[in-house]
Amino acid sequence: MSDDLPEEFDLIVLGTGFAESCIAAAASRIGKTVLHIDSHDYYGDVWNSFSLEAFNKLLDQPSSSLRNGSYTWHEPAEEAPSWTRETLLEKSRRFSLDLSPRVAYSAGALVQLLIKSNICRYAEFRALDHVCMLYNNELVSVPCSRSDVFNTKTLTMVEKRLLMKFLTACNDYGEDKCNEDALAFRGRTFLEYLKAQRVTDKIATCVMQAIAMCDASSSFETGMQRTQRFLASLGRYGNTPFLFPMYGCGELPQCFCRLCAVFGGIYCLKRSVDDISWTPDAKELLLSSAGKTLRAKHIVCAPGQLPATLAPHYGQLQPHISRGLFIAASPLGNEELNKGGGGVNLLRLLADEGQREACLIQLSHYSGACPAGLYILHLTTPAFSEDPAADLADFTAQLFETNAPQILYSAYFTITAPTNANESAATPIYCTAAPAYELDYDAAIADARHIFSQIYENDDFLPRAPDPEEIVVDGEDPSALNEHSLPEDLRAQLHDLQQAAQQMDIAE
Amino acid sequence: MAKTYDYLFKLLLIGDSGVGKTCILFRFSEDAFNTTFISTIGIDFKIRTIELDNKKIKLQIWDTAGQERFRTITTAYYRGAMGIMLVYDITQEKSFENIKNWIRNIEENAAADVEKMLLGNKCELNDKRQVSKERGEQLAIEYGIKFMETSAKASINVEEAFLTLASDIKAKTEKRMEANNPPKGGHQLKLTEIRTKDSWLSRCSLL
Amino acid sequence: MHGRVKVRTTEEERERKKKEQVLKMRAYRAAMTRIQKKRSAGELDDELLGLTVQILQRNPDISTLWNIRRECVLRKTGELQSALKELEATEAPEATVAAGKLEEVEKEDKVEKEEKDDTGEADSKAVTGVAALAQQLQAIYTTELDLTEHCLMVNPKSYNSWHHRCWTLEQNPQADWQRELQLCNKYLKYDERNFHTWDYRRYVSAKAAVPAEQELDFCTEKIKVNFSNYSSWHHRSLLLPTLYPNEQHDRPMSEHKLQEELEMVLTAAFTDPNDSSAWFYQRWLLGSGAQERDQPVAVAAFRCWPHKAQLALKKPYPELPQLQIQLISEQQTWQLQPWQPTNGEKTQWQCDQAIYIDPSQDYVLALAGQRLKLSVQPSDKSLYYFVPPHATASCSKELLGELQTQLQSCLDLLEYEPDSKWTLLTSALLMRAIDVTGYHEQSLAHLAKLEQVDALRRGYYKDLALRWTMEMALAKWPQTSNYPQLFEMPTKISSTRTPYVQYLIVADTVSS
Repeated sequence: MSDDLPEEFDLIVLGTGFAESCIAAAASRIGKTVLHIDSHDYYGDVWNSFSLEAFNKLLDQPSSSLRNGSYTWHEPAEEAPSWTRETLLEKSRRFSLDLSPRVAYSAGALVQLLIKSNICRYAEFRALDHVCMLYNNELVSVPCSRSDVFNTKTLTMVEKRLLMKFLTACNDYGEDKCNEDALAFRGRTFLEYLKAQRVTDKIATCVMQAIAMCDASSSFETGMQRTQRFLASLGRYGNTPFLFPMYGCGELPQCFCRLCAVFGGIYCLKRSVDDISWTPDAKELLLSSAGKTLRAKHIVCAPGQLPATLAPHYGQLQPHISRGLFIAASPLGNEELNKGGGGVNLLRLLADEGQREACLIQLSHYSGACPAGLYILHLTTPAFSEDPAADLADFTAQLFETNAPQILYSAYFTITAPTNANESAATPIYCTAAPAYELDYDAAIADARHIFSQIYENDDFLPRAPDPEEIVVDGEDPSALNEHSLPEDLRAQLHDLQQAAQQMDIAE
Repeated sequence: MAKTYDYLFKLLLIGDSGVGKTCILFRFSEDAFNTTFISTIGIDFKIRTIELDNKKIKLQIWDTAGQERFRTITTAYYRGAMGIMLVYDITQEKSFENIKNWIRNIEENAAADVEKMLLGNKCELNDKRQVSKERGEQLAIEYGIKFMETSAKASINVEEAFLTLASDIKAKTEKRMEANNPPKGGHQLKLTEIRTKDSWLSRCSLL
Repeated sequence: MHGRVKVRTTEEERERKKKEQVLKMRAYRAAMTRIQKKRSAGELDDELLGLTVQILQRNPDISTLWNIRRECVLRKTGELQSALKELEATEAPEATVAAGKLEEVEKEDKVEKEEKDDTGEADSKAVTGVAALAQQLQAIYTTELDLTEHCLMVNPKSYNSWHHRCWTLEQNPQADWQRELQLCNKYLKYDERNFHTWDYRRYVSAKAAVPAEQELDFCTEKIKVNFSNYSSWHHRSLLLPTLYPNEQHDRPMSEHKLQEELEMVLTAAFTDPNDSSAWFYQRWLLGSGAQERDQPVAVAAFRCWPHKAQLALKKPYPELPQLQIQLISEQQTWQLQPWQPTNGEKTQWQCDQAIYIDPSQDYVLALAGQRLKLSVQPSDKSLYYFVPPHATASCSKELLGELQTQLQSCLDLLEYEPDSKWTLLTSALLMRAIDVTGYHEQSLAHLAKLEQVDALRRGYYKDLALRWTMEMALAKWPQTSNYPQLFEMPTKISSTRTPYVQYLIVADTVSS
């Protein structure tokens, strides 16, 4: 690489994962000089999506942030004999296999940030087709809108009314602070509240498992807050409150990187850092990389990208998230859940009497993440051992025993996190957190926002980027009206006008 | 709110640093040429609406944001692109040689049916020419794509190039629509188009 | 390389907007001036068409400009059509076959054609031939359709654009109605409640002879997406009676279909009781809509004395004096006329005519194709006819079952929500649909409850209670011993605006 790189920066960011990219974009956006580098030859770090081939390679080579990788090819299913290891690998590039898959609430933190910052123009989303629940071992769709409630065959007429009434009450809750319910249920659980509404068992399951996403011990306030979050995200884009980024979650860090670059941030991939040192007052940090020394006022680093000399400061890397990834030739659940060639669906699973949970995201080709006719099943749970398959066993059992899809490929891996990433006072480097177990990006965004505010106390975090037509090009009169910025038809009209000007009287 | 165009095409500019991609972009969108806007930051695409056969076509043309410099163009840049202008500088042999690499990059990341076109820019600098027009034509034939020599500075062929690319994409799009096979994606939704339609609470209020 | 982005200040932006506005205004005025000049000079040419496009694209609601366009189009098409006729008279018949396939070719050729238009008469080869002329004709229509389509993108509720589109299609004997149907689909996907589009769809589907089944399926799909949609329920109510006619003509559609519709609409109502559209549709289903539609002149009561006749109608019919109304006995036929209304609503009419009445004979009143058999009033030997309001419609076992299931669902729900006003009213209506007499007291009790829980509409419930009470009293009246001389007003009714008062012309005395 020809290195005509500047040597001094306001901020150097190591790692192009979600939180790092947010910070890089935010700094560049307010005019800071930013160098954004990654030791890998791809964007996104543990937040990236990979082709099938690249994904296998990743599992074969454990790294600091990803380990315990394994994958298995299964016998081609009788119903789909055309899908073999070879045919899958032939379409390797058509896959976007996520390491950290997530969905976004339509009115949640991520969507709000993307809209507020105008980064939304770099991304496209697919509204999830169904939010599911397991009821009596059967996978059913949770009605998510008036039309869902109207059309569903799983609820009786009276149940429909009760569900709508309950949700409307939740939605209206809080408008009146002296709400009777608020007083009566303060300090009690959400489940108790639900029972007091005399709803049927099916509706209770629906609310607890899929809408409020609660367990029996969740407080009334938590349950209410989560239900409201779900409801607030309805009716915005599709039939469910959730969105999934087209072509996989790996697109999202790249969107932030693009904004960083548009505002002048410089990008280098496949560039590792040997060491970082700093002046005694920690006002300047020196980063040595590929025989060069780069100076920066601040450095932000992903836990997996710390140079070996510094990593010990952050404690040991421990299993953090256990992941399973399956490629199947048939979707989970019935035809209703997979209309028109497969749904992009979400399911929250519970085990150990609600003590443990996992999240399942099914992707069909509509997500842009796999070829038509195939389905990706992402299973995620907080890790409690070095064996991701064992951590997920309870959940795979629930999923595959009764609803068995034709699995062609399965993979497991562990995402790690340092034990004391937060207690990094020993170095002046800001270390981001490893991907948390969460549905949306709330924690990751909060992390990025927090680090940004520590570095740039008084600056706005990702203010709206102007649209191209609002920007004044150097040397241009800002109030001048450029002919090219007029609507095309008006331009044509004015052109005609000019030509005809000599021949007619124009009433001005 | 109302849509005032019939088609929206996303086009990309690709090629080495310094071949004049941004200048081409400004020549087409603003009919301006100014070497200082190379340093203008914050602009990542420009829009111009053109009219072809009575159809209004909104062209959204994306620049590389400098990410071509260390070959770190994000894969996301290629998503949804319907047309790509591959640009080299006729006075820089290297930029012409790199076209092959860029094409490989496109094949890896862009949709298979993306419409491509090759542009040899800076054709006003004939005395410094390192790449003959014939070689440009030859390469274009090799990849089965159209070719033009352009000059953003002297305003040669820039308009023509974009109109040609747009009209090829339009033909392809209409053919696909006639075959009742619209571009895939069911309902891909842009975040900017918030609809508040079927929420729990929206309803006609009367009685 | 780095630096902050310069963005226009709001002041600068405002200035730019102002400049743009000035330019727009200037362009608008210039175009308008030119348009008026050309029009008064009778220059209905392509340039004039072009000028109107410029303005209409931005403001599709200037009807004058659409009128001008129609003048231009008529002039152009008129010229082409007469040229066509001339040519057809001379040219070989094969050429006309090609005209049928023109539409496909037409699009690709348009650019080429416009160029030809510019070159005008000089290129005589291009403009001769039946096919070429027919092609030009189609191009004119296509331009109009494209323009309205564009204007509808700007404003999907532009009356003028919709109207112009219809006009254009009416002009063209080869109009592509299927394409129009696709357009409706597209627009209804964009906004499924735009009643302009629904109206247009009804127009187009009639033209395209779309089978009613297909329209109904489309309608069902739209309701599944969003049932808060008056337009699509209304569309349904127009389709169902023809698709599933009711044999007895006393219900809006066949009982089997009615059952399904009732279930669907009750589901909608349970999903969102506050949605009034479902609610209105349900009332239409439960009401006996068919009856009223079939008979515009529905006689409630009639009475005839030797010196005058009185006629009471169920619904106002101001055109009554134009009808032929006859009193027919075995021996004689009287033309009853003229008729004068005796109340403001025009439900009660009187005719002062001398008639000889022989009580031993049978009399029939004939009007509007109906023959009503008259009885003799014992007290004064006058003739009379009486039918109580809202005779119960036929009800099969299956339909009755469905109504009972629905009533049960409502009653179940009332256990949970005893004050649900909507459920109270629906169950009352269902009760009456099942058995008016049997449920009379209970349905009135629901109304009384509604007066409490929904005080805002107390008047409405009171009126309804009054009507139901009166209906019951009138229905029972013929069975009483004093019928028809004496009608005993139900105790609860004291209001001056008694409903169904016109029915009482048959009685000599009304006691309160």
